[in-house]
Parts: sequence; C-alpha cells; structure tokens
Amino acid sequence: MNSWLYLFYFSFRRQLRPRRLVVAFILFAVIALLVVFRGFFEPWEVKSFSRWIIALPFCRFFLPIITLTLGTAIIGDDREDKTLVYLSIRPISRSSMYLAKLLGSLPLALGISLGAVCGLCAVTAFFGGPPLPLSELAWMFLPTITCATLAYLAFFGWLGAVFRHATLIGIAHVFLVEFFMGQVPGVLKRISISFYVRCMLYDAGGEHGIGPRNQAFFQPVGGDEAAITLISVAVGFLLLGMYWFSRREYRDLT
Amino acid sequence: MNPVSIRDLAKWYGEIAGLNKVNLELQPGIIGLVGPNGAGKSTLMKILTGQLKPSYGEALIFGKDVWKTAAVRRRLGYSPEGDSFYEDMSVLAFVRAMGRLCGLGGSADAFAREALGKTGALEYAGKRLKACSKGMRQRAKLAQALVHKPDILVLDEPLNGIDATGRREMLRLFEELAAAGATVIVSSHILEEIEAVTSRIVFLAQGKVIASGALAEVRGLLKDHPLKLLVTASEPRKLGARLLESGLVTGIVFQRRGGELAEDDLVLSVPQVESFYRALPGLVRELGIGIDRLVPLDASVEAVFGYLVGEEMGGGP
Repeated sequence: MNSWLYLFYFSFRRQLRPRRLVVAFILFAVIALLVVFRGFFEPWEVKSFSRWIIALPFCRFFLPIITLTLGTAIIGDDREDKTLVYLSIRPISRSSMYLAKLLGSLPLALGISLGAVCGLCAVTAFFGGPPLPLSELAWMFLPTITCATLAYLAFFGWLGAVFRHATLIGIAHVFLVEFFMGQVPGVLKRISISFYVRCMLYDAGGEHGIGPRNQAFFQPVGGDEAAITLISVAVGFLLLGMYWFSRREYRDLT
Repeated sequence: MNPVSIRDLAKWYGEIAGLNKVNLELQPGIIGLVGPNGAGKSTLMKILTGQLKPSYGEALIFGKDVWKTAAVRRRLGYSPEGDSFYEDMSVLAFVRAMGRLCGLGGSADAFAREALGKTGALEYAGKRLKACSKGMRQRAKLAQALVHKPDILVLDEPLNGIDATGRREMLRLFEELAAAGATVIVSSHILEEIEAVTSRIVFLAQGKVIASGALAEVRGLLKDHPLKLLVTASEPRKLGARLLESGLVTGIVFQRRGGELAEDDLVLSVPQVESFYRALPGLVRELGIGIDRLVPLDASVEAVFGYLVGEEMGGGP
C-alpha cells in the first residue's frame, strides 16, 4: 500500500510540469480575453455566457485539449522518456499501477478544469457579468465540468495506454468525434462525450433558458442520464485501461 | 528453493525467437550472462524482472511467477541497459523515489544514501541527473537497483560508461553483495571483467543457452577443442617428446615470441586436462627438468564462448 500511495503522489508530482501548466494558462487566457472583449460591447447573460463560452470554447476545446494532454501523458510520458521500466519492476501490480497513475493526474485535471471555469465566471462577473451571484453561476457548471473531466481523462488515459502516438489520435478524436460528430443529426452524436456534457449543461441551466437551439434536431437526454453516462464512461475506460495495461507488454520500456 | 528457476522459457517476437526453451536454476552468487548482440540476454533479464511475459514456460523468483506476482518483485533489483532517467530529479531524489516505490516509506532517504555510498555516488547526490556524466548516471542506476536491498540483482551491462577504477569498485561491490547471499546476474560485453568476479557463466546464443556452469567444467566439455597450454620448461624438447609418447597431448607447437621461435616455450594441445595435470608432476620428476610457467591459453570466457558459438554455428571459432 505504501508503494501504491507513493506512486499516486509521484504521478501527481510528475504531472506538474511547467510546460503543461503554461499551455493550460494560455488557453484559459484566450477564452478569458473573449469574455472581456465581448463584455465591453454587450453585457453577458447566463444564457449567452453558457452558450458562447462554456458550451463552445470551454467544453469542446479547452476541456478536451487539457484532458488529452494530461490523459495521454499518464502512460505516454513514461513511454516517451523510457522511464516506464523503473515503475514496471516495482512490487505494484500493473492494474493498480495504472490506477495510481490515473488518479495521480486527476487532482491536476480537476484543478485546471474547475479552476478555469470558476476563473471564467469571475472574469464574466467583472466584465459585464450576468445578474447572478458568482458562486451560483459557477456552481451551475461545476457538476457538468467534473463529470466531463472524469470521462475525458479516463478515455484519453486509456488511449495513451493503448497507442504509442496517442496524442495525435486524441487530437483526431477531438475534432472528428467530439466536435464534428457532435453536430450531426440523429443518434450518431451519442458516441461523443461532448453530447452528454451539453445535455448536462442544458439540464443544469434550464431555468435560465439554456438549451439546444433546435430541440428536435439535438434530441437531448436528461441531465441525470447524461451524468450517469459520463460517470459510466469514466469508470468503464478506467477499468479498460487497467485491464489493458495489466496485459500489455511494453517492449520499448528502455 | 533456488532464487531463480527458469523452466522451458520461450519468448517469441512474431516469428522470431527471442528465447527458446531456456532452462536454468540459479543459486546465490555472481552469474555472468554472456552472448553476442541478439543472443537473448536482455530478453531473459526483462522476463526475469517481470517486464515481459513469457510466450511459453515460466520464470520463477523464489518459486513465484514474476509476471503474475507483483509482490515478489520486492526481492528484485534491476539496472537496465538504457540510459533513461527522470532527468529533472537529483540523483538522491531519484534513488529515494525508487526506494519508496519499493515500499521503504520514511526510511527511504537513509536507504538511498546507503545505496549511493555503496556505488560511490554519494558525493554528487544533490546533482540533477541531466547534469551527470554517463559514469555518474550508471552509478545512480545501480544505486536504485540496490536501494531496497534485494535478494536478486539483475544488472544489464552495469559497467558501461564507468572508468577502469570505477569498474573495479563495482566488481568489488558485486562480490560483496554475493558474499552477503545475494544472487547477482550480470551481463557484460567486457568478458574479462565478468571472469574476474565469477566462474559461473551462462552462455547464450540465438536465444538458447548453449552452455552453463563453472567455466572450467564447460571448458572441459569441449572435447573437440583440446585445451591449449603454454609451458616454459628448462628442456622443452625432452618434455615434448615424453608428453607425445605418453599420449597426454595431441599436438605441440613452439611458441613464437616477436617473430622468433622461442626454444623454451611450448604450446600443448591437451585433450584430457585432468589426466594431464595428474600425470605432469611425475613426468617432470622422471625427466629431471624444471617448469617455469604453465598457463592455459584458451580457457577464458572469451575463448570458451568463441568455441561454443563456433560449435553452435557448426564450425570452428
């Protein structure tokens, strides 16, 4: 247990690479500038903020990119640096090693995503903000962002355990599946994580008029169902990653 | 129970056999793994440390399958051949972290300093790994393998990049560890250095163990290659004639020194080494001559390996 706990801590520390934090900060700053810029010309409403900031650039760009960076690095960093050998020879089973590494990256992933959403709410409140207390505004988005972060991180973590060039595959996935397929009519979009994220968002902000522009086209599922799906995706890909990692040989360890 | 048992081990990479039907029982002490590139040394070491899964057979550490039983890896230390590190960590932080990953907890710092002391790396414990020389990094890699005081050490080319003095220190360390009861499995392309610390050698070629055991025993089994002995005697012709007459040698050559034939140096081809050594003192007394020097010329790891590989390939060395 000592070894496992230390691996969890070690993985967390390894994720705190300045380069990664700088990328997150730059992406956040770009979205925050959008908030400031528009806030000068037109006051933000809950609905407009949710649609033009949270649903679009944040949930469909910032969040997938950040979780992609962190998720694929769970195994990918050690593979790339050829340091996985130092972990794989320790008295920790492969599946629990994967679990420790994924959980080790979770605090940073949640910290960045929840911190960024709170930060954007704060920027909005300051620059032409909506008539809603900051805490209430942030609280409206936090459950959705938490579930989305869990699902994306588990998915990209699995991708990193399976593919050597997981980042490229992940980027392709973000644009093709999460972005493009999320727009198509019918049930095909339900294979994307972003669909359920938007469903949760629409459910949480329903009383403020937040919802799909075309209900019949979008065909959303309920908020609870979306949350359960996202949690299931997270748990499912976590278990799949643990299984995969425990069976897989990495011949490029050294 | 032997620390290491390898039974019918095979490892296939697609259609290429990395290892083929390897059977070994290794006991405490130093064991040298010898073989050319691609012989399967690294594959064997990776299977022994639970990094690779055998395609067939099993690798047991104290009776436990090392691929399936993670806990048994606590008794293993491994120093990989590759030169990869957590570059931004200091030497001490790296070794301490590896110790903690082995479950050392709060005592990891003391253990790490002890391991660094043993490998001679304590003086630059605070230096970042990316700023370390190849030799320093090699010592850090050895220290992380030793930090949790394992019963079995698997060292893949541990002497690479270390200077001659450092190599002697490392070999002395391996001897100390073996004397304390550890099983130290060392692969090195510097065969003389392996020979300096152990006579227990496992010879690998093309994924197979072509011979294993004490070097002298393995040499003795090479009947097609009589041992070549250099003899410096007071009356070499007399001795040579008597040895040929007795059938103890199958050939005699005068040893050249700097292009000149040296009359007092003989190179003998000895098919039955034990019989030769038993009979020699009596012959010398009988002839009333003196022997100044008696040196085996082809009993080294390198020579034996050359013969073995030659036989395996179906020809001479």
